[in-house]
Amino acid sequence: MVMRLSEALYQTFFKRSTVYIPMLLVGAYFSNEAIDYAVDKMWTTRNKGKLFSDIIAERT
Amino acid sequence: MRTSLLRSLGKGLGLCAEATSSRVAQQTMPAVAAMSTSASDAEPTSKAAHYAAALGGVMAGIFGASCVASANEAADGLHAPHYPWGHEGVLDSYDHAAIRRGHKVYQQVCAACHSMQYLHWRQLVGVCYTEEEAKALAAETEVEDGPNDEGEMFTREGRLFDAFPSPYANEQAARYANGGAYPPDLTLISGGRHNGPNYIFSLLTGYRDPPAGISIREGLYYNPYFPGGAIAMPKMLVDGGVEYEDGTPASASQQAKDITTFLAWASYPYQDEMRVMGIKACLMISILIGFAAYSKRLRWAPIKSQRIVMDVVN
Repeated sequence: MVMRLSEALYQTFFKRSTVYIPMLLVGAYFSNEAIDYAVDKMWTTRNKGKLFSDIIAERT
Repeated sequence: MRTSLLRSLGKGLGLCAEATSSRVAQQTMPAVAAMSTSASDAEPTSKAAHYAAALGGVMAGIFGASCVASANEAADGLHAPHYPWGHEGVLDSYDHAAIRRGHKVYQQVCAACHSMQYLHWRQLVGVCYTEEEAKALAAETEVEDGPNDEGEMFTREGRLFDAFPSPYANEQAARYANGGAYPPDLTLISGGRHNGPNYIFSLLTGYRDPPAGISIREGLYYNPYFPGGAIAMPKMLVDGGVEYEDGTPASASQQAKDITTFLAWASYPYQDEMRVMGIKACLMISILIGFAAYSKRLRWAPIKSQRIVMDVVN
């Protein structure tokens, strides 16, 4: 049976609350890590040369 | 319909423009009237046209209020232009090299008269100096401490937890040494003045001869950006006045830019962390809102799709 992606997502993650709630908890932990990594990466790339780590590296 | 509304807007704008004699409103009025002259004037004044005329009046009022006669300009200080500071955008950090240079400018030029008594040496660590550099700078200053076991006050070298030294013991001493004028503490000056960084930069670079007809008394200096126009501080930043250790050419405007960045940091040191945390929070919260909305609609689906039948009981 060919399922749409939304249908597949619903059946595996959203249908049963015993799956949904643990998925939220685990997903929160990993998405928090992912957001931390992504935003820090964006910040240091966009502000290259202005941050303290850059000016100290320049001096040594 | 739309062109006649525009005409009503123009009429309202024009009537009120003549009343307020506002330059901007009068300039706008012919433009708006020109847009609608091609249309025919067949329709009687509708309710929408009344509202459009009223809106024109309100716009003229706003234009009129924004172009206040320049008699207040000397009292309020010349409006500082907007400079493109590198730390303005929500994704931009402070230029920490400028903070470092700015601290040097403060030490060599400003610290003779201005205190920064709410800033501590430890706050510079990890921002513009390493711990060793900050310790060395603090150790060059003297701090009064005590009483010791003999009951006497003594002086010791500055440590990281000490505040920046003040040039005067108190406000009265500062006033006495500066002809009655108090050089304000600079820790929060960037946040405490309207349009802080632009104002400070303009002030420091804005010294000029007073225009014809304005004379400044002895001991004061003309600066159009200072409210009142007469400031007790002379022009302090000159080309080459400070030598930067990173080799940046120290023009007066470069020094002004660096000291303004340093003062902006001093007034809001946690800006960088707040911006990063804010971006992360906004991303996470929007994801959570998505799940909350989905869960709500999932649980409400049976109720929202109910069919309610009113049966008449005989």
